[in-house]
Amino acid sequence: MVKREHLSLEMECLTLFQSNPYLFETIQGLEKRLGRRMSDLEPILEGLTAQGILQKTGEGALAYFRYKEPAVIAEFSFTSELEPL
Amino acid sequence: MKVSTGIRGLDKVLDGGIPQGSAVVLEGAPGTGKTTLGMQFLYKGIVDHNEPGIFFTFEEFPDQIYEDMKSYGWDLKDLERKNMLRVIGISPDILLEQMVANDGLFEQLVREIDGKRIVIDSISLFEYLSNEAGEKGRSILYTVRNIVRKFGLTSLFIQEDDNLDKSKIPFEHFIADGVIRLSLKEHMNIYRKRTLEVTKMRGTKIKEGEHIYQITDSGIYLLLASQIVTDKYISDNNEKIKTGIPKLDSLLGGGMAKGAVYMLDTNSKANYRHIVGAIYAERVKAGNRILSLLSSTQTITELKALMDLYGINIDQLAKEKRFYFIEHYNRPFPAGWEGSVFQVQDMKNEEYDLFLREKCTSLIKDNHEDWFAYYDLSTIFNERGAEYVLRSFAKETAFARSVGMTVLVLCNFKEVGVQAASFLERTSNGVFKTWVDGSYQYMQVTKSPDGQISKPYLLESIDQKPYIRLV
Repeated sequence: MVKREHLSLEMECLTLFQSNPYLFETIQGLEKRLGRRMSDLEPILEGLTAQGILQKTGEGALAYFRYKEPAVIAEFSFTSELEPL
Repeated sequence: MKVSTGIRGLDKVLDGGIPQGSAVVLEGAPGTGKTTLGMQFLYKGIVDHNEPGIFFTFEEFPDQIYEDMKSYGWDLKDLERKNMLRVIGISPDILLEQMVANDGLFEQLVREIDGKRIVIDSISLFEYLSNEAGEKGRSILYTVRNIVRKFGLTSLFIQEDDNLDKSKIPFEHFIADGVIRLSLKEHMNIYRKRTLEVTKMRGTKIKEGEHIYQITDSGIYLLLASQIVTDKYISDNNEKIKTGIPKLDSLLGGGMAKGAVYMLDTNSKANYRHIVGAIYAERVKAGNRILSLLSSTQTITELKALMDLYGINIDQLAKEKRFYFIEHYNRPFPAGWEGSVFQVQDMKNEEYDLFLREKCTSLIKDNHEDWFAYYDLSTIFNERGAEYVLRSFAKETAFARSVGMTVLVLCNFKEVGVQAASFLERTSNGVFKTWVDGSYQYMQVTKSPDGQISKPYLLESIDQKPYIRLV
């Protein structure tokens, strides 16, 4: 697979998991859901897992992937930083 | 404890809802709204009852479900952010593996949001987990049912209706605590109607029959079968008077509405005496004053014998002027009853009309107590003619309603003809029908002020009061 194709498939996987944050799927399941070959998906899913974007649970055919929500600071209290008038 | 389904009509069908912790199969053909019903069960559980829920989908993408459910105004993503809902996209084999695993994904998800309800869409796919369908599929579903029960979850298992072999009962029906079936049927050759039927539900009474539902802008709306438009001004009057026949009272939502006019339509073979006897006895016990129009076949002696059976001393009541009779025939009556028997056999129709207007009206108005009236309309048809009945019946019923008097009218609709029967049925607030078919007698409520109608019940003779039972 050339680099451009690899990137496109990576984007496809990312979009799928980001739009479906509670999708728990095996490579075999993703092959059906995305309509892509398992052999093409495997390195991409492993790569995304290595980057901490996906989480892989289990081993073998029943290993499944899920999206790891990025940790963000949802709330920040600015007022506590201000000096009193 | 019952769990509301989120569909008011379905809760009524289930006598309040699904028993908590039940695993219920929801089956239907594509397009019947199974996913919508399943999600409505979860959404309303969260919004109305603060019960978090999980939706497992094997074939759909969760984002497609978020999108589809927006059309009902349900913001599922918002509920997910609030940790009240999870829409899980997963393969059936992974779900199964994670359900049986100690501290597996299933357990974690339930714990994470303190889940109370789940929907699995659809259990049909469990069958494909094994090449040996049948026994293996049964075993998988049995395991899944036991796991959801263990967590105390109230569950809907969506099942595709494959229409393959209707003669066999699917094994899912044996394993599940309940079965709800959705169908699409042809209606009037042009339309298709959607119907819902609960064919099984352990631990609750169900309203049998196929109930029509619609998929509206706000989800599924179900309209109960055996229900017609309510006579609101009467049904809102909560005062119910008992008939003395427990099942009949239950069919009428507690009894006859006070001040309403009921028709008892009977065919020539049917024995209605115990129905009338039970109602009379109950009204006497409740302290009502009674006005009774005697028929050609019912003499005072015969009525006295009937009342004796129910432990009612009609002689004493007549003497105390609590039981009055309108007599159209020249027949003897016991001594001391003079003031209680109105002999009208020689009155022409105009005189009879005047008698009702003046004598009866003042009698009822002067005694500020609850009144119950019974009369055999066939007698009026025979003695005063159909024209008189059609002219005066509406006036008489209007008067009865105005003074809050409950009336039971006996009539044979077949005998009086279609036109008169239709008029009488329309004028009455409620209609009970009893008839004999073969070796059995039946009874059915075909009209009532609160819109309820019943299925036909068998009438069984019993040894104790009220001597009849609806089965």
